[in-house]
This record gives sequence, C-alpha cells and structure tokens, in this order.
Amino acid sequence: MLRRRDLLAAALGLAALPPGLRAALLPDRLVVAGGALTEIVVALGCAPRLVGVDTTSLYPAKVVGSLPRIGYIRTLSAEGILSLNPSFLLASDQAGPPAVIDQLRAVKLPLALVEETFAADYVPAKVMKVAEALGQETAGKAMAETIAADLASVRAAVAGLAKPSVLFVLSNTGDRLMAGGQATAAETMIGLSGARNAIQGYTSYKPLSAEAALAANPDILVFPDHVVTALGGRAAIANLPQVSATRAAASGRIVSMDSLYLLGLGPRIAHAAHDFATALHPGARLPALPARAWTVA
Amino acid sequence: MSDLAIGAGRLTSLPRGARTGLAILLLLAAMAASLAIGAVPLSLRDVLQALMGQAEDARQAAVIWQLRLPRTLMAGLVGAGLALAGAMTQGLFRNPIADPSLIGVSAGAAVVTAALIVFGAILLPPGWLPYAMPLGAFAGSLAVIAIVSRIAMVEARTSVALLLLAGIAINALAMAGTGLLVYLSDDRQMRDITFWTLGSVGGATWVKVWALAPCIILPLICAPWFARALDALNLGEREAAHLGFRVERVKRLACFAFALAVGGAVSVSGIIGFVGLVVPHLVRLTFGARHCVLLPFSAIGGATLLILADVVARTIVAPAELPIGLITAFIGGPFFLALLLRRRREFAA
Amino acid sequence: MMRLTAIAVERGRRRIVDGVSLDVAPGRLLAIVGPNGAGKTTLLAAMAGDLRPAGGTVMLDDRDLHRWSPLDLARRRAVMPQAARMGFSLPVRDVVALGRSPFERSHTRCENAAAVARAIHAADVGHLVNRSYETLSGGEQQRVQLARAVAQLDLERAGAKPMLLLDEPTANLDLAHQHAVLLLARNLAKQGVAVVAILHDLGLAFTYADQVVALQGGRAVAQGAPPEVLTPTLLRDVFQVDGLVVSGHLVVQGPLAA
Repeated sequence: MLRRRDLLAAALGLAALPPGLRAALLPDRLVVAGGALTEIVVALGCAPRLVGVDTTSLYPAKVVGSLPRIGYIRTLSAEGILSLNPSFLLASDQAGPPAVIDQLRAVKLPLALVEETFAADYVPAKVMKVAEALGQETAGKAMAETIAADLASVRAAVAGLAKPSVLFVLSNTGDRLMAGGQATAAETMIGLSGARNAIQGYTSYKPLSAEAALAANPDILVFPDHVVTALGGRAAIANLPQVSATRAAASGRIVSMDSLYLLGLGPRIAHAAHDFATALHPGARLPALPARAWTVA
Repeated sequence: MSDLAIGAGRLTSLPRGARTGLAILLLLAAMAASLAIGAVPLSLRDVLQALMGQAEDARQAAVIWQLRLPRTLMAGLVGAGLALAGAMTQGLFRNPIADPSLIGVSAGAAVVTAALIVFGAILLPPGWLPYAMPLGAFAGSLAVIAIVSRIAMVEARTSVALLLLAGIAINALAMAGTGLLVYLSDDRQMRDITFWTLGSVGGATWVKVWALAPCIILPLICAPWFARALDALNLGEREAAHLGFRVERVKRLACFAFALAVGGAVSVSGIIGFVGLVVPHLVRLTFGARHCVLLPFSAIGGATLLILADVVARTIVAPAELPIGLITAFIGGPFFLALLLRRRREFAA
Repeated sequence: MMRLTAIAVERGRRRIVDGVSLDVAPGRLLAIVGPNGAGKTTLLAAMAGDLRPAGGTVMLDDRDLHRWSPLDLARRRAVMPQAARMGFSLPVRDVVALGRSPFERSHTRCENAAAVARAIHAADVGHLVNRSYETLSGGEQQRVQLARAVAQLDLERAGAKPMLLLDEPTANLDLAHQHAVLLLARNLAKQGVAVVAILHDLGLAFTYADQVVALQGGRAVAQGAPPEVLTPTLLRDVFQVDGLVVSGHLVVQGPLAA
C-alpha cells in the first residue's frame, strides 16, 4: 500500500542524493506521449521532471493541466518536442508518425518506447517498464503488485455474477456510431467487469448498422460521457435508429462513463473496472477498492 | 494587368545570366529561411556554424542536420519535381490547366502508396518499403497517365473537357480505393493513409531524401532534351512530326519522366496540389513560354515555393504543423479560379 | 525528286485518294485543285509523310518516303498547315525560329538566325516579330506559319533541293497578301525549291502555278500546265462553273448556266 507521503518521502530522499547520482537515476526534463504512461509517471513521483505531455494525457488534471502540449500522440512533431529541450522521451509504441520517432532517434534524443497491449494483466508489466526507464524500480514494483492485487479483487467480486451482453460505442461522427469489436480496450474492460462483448466478428472499431445492432441485441449500451452529451442525452440515444430496436434501448439500460478513465488501460484500470462493474451490475454489492495514490486526483 | 505585362517584359528581356541568378538567389534565400526557422530557436549564425561542422551545441547541430536539412531538401525536391511535372504535362497536353493533381496522377500514386502501407509489411522484406514506395507510386502514376491520355486525346488533340472529366473520374476512383484501404487498415496505418490526402514534408529523413532524389534529378537532367520537343509540340503533334521529332517516343518518355517525378514526390510527402499548375504559369508570365527556359525555372520556382510554403506551414500554428497541401491549395485554388475567369471564352469552346 | 506512283490513301475504311501518279520536280510550283472532298488535303498529307499509302508508293530521291527518318525528312521538306493554332503563345520571332529545329545541330546559331530573318522578311511579318502569337489575326497567324515553313527550308546549301508543301496558304489572307504569298512561292521555286500548294482559287492557280493537278473523287482527272488543265470543259465537269481565259488570266463567271 503506497501512500502519497511515501512517494513524497522517496522523492525527497532521492532529492537528497548527490546530484550526479540523482541525474543518473531520474531523467531531468521528461516528455511523455501517452495518457496511461503519464499517469504512471506521476504516480511514481516523477511529476516535477515533466516538461511536456501529449494531448491524450489528461489525468491528473492538476499536474498535467499546465504543462505544454506536444500534440496528438499519433501526429507528433519532432521539433515541437525538441523545443522543450527534453533530456528524455517516454512514449507509447502507438506514438507517431513513425518518421518522427526516426527523426528523434537521428537527433540522438534518449527515448524509450513502451509497448501497449489490450490485456488487462499487462498493466502491471507496463508500470514496471516505465519504472525501469525512470530508475524507479522499487516504487514501480510496489505499484505493480498493488494493481495486480486490485485486478484480482475485481475479478473475484464479479466472478459469480450473470454476464450481461454489452455494446460499446466509442464515438459518433454525425449519424455514424463506431462500435467496439475484438482487440479493443473496451472489450478488455467489458471482460474485466464480468460482462461480454455483444459484438463478435470484427476487430477494432467499425461503424454500427441497425441490423448489426439488432443481431447483437445487447442488454446494455455503453457510451462515453462526451458522446452522450453530443447526442443529446440518454433519451435521445434510446431513439437513435441504429440502436432503438435493441433490448438495451427498450429497457433504458444505457451506461456512460468518462472515456479516458474507462479505456486508458493505465494504473486506474482496476478502479475503472470496479466502477464499470457497479454500473453494469446494479443489483450486486461489490466491495470497494481502497483508494490509491494514483486514484486520488 | 498591363503593369504586370510591362514588368514581365522587363524580366523577359533581362539577360539569361541575370534571370538565372535572380531565381537561384530566391531559392537560396528560401532555403536559408527554412533552415533558420523552426520550433527550436536558432539564429542564422547557429545555422551557419552547424553547417560548417563547428556547432557549439550537439543538439543544435542535430536539429539542423537531422531535421531541418532533410526537410528543406525534401521540400525543394518535391516542389521542383511537381513544378517540372506540371510544366511537362501542360506542354504535352498543350493545355494550361493540366496539373498532375487535377488529372488524377497524384491520386493514382497515392492509392498505390496507401496499398503498400497496408499490405507492404506482408508482401515485402523489411527495409525495402522506403524504396518500394516511390517505385509503386511511379507505377500508379503511369497507369493513370495511360488511362487519362487514352480518354482525353481525340484525333491528336486534347480535349480540355475530357481531360478534366477523366481527372475527376480517376480522383473519385482513387478516393474510393483509399477509403477501402482505410477501412481494411489498423489504426496506425489509417493515420498514415489519411495523411496522404493532405500532404506534409514533416516526416523527412535522409533515407527518404535519398530515395526521392533520383526520381526528381533524372527528369531534371533530361529536361533540355524534352524542352526542344515540347516547343515543337506546342504547334501540334503533326507539326512537331514535320519538324523532325519522333512524337510518340517523346510523349512516352515525357510521361515516364513526369510519372517518376510525381510518383516519387507523392510517395514521400503525400498529395500536394497546385504546385504543378501555379508555378509554370508564373514562370511563363515572367520568363516566357519556351521550354528551355520554362522547365528549369519551373523546377527552381517550385522548389522555392514549396520550401516557403513549408516554413509557413510550421510557423503559422506553431508548435503544431499545418499540412502543406492546405497552404498550396490556398494559393493555388484562387489562382486556378482567376485563370478560368480570365480565359472563360477560350475554355467554353 | 518526289514521285507518287498510283497511290491510294485510306482514312478508316474509306478510300480518299485512288490511283494518283504524280511527279514533283524542283524549281516548279505545283498547284493541287479540286472541289471539296476531292482528297486534296489527304494527298498532301501522303506527300508530307503523315499518311502511309494503302497502295502504291511515294518515293523521295528514289527512296521510299517512309524509310526516311523524321529528322532527315524535316531537313528536306517543310509543311505549312491549314490550321494555325498554338497551345501556348510565343512571340512571333520564336514561332518562326521553331522552323529551324531540324537544323539546330547541323548549323551554327548565326546561320539559323539568318535563315529566320530571311523567312520573316519573305513572309512580310517583320512588323510583327515581337507580338505575341495569340494576339494576331487569323491572316497574320497564317503568314507567321508560312514564315516558319520557309525558315525550315535548307536554302543555303548548294545542291539542296528542299520541298515546300502548302495547305491552302491563301485561306484567310486579304487579296494583296494572297498574291504576295504566291509570288513568294514562285520566287522560292525559282531558287530551286519544289513547291506544292493546295489552292482553292483557280484564278491564282492559273496565274502562278507551273503545273496543276485537278482531283475529283480522289482521282487525278487532269495534270499539266495550267492552260492545259484548267479548260472550260474541266471547269464545267469538275467544278460546275463556267469560266474562260481573259488576257492570260482565268476568270470564273458563275455557276453552270442551267
């Protein structure tokens, strides 16, 4: 159980080390591309070293809100990053375009690319990788173990429950709804929360047709908060042509959550799964997870 | 307009050396601006020191050598290639609105490049892709040129209407093809593909510059040979034959040359429109329509234009970058409209 | 110099020219006359080497015309087209200079410039040299094309016998220039050029040509000196007009009296 003051103490302790040793352990000016990675960096106590983040890094708002942005994770600019005079770039392997990564390597900027997968159980490993890159192995190990334990708790809590079928809509472009299939963060979270993905048969997010929705006939529809607002509220969603014929729309079971929180696959994954499961299983009493340093904004 | 004509007259009558000197000076100035301007603040002195290998700061030198220099060279090569291709296309089709992007050549190149992005990893050994892309784009360009020529050439004359309509058809087809590829691609490939429709030189690396260089330099070297033939073609295909030119051979080789230039350019920087339309016109206006002057000055002018457009693209919304195709469209679109308005009667025939 | 032997020329499936035999000699102006659709332009195209005859042969200097390389041919014969459109406008001087394209490697710049100047003078377009081609009237453009064709003639080399083919050179010209062009054609013939011109105006053909060939329906119905060919009988049969010779000039009086 790692409390905030422990992290602070660790940071202070490190700060007390001779500068040479400290520099060797902590990159001085850190740029991060990837929302989950930023959360991990902050949780490991390296926030003071951050000089820039990408636009998918939104949490914790108080820490990252005032930082310069280097652009969207997939359309970074090499010189934009370099203008912050960074000493290290920590990036998700989704960062791009690939040419920019090549350019940064050519400029000899020290960088570490962290693999991202859709497996929930990979998250503790991701934490460890970031920790190793930043020289925070001890803190990282503790954090990883805690997250793994939290994940196990959530799994145990939903183990015996009936699995509703869930259809997850990622976004809307005008009238089109993009629904999540296999190999998506949405499916991971659905599985983790004791439910099953109503969509079977394609990977990634694809446009949803009324027929496909009917064939899937989910018990529950899930939309990100901002999409609910964009579409005009839960009532309006129930009347959308694509989904109005489904069981979920008929019974009004429409769930919404903050999309970064739910899909981030970051340190808050267990807590997000818990909150999601609570929404999906309204009758069940799921034991609460203790607050962690990284879940307190 | 009369002032412009007078000014043009003056420029046309400048001695050859002075004209070339002026054009090259502008190009060098543009390159200097491109090397000196960017998100990382560097002075002109820093740039010069880095170029001469005497940089005080290794990172500054790296920014110049690994980021700005390849980017400037790529913008210059792409601009030169597109403008040269535009001048040659206009000469071949004897039509002032012929431009690689309008007649669908760029789109054809882009579709093949997109297909290579999606399927290239499966079909090719790794490391081949940067060199396979220009070649594939070249093939796509050639295919489009063959189709468009077939449609638009009626009894040794090009029909303007058919040319444009063929271009619309090809562009629509290419968009559909690209759309399909986007649908089949994964997230990362999709980003790469949609980038092609807007164009950017932001991904410039030395590998890409080396892969692109022969595609542009080869047609440039052959330009003097094409110049004489294109001047004769100006009179008509039959008249050019009467003057001793092997017209079919010239047409074929010229198509190869500009397909190579456009294919190379599109494969590294996406679709950048209007350069092939605007630059040859401006050069004709200021330096005359003879191809021995038009071709090289179009290349120089295209390089200068694109380098400057790139500087604008990365400073106007710094630290983000606008796609360069937007800048050229903002310049080229109104230019195209003005051209149509001025020559309405002629085109209505 | 050029000999056509029973040539037949087809466009698509139709036989436009059939069984025409003709000799083109240097130093003479040959006029090709005939009603619309008689095959005059097609015949000229066959002589220029644009069209391959479906039957018969065209020999230039005892060699089949189609064995000649385009460049060698260009150094030997020049063609003035009927239409005068250009893709992009050039100053008149540069248009005429295009006529020297075949000689860029074989002659010096001075020689080529001199030939251009001579051609400009001969076609009387000296006052137009700096004008942009597209700003000229139809007749002026035609004279510039004539100058270009004349520039393409290799007149300097002794013993060279160039050929000049003119497709309706008087079409858009005013009267004075019509005569001036034909005078120029005669002068060139005197210098040894073999000139062939398609003429619509029978009076001009009668006055200026050394030889006339009359075409009808793709066949040569008469060949020879103008008085032998352009007889009242031929005028009636081929052209459906009445005409006679007055004071050494042909006068066409009007359509056939009913």
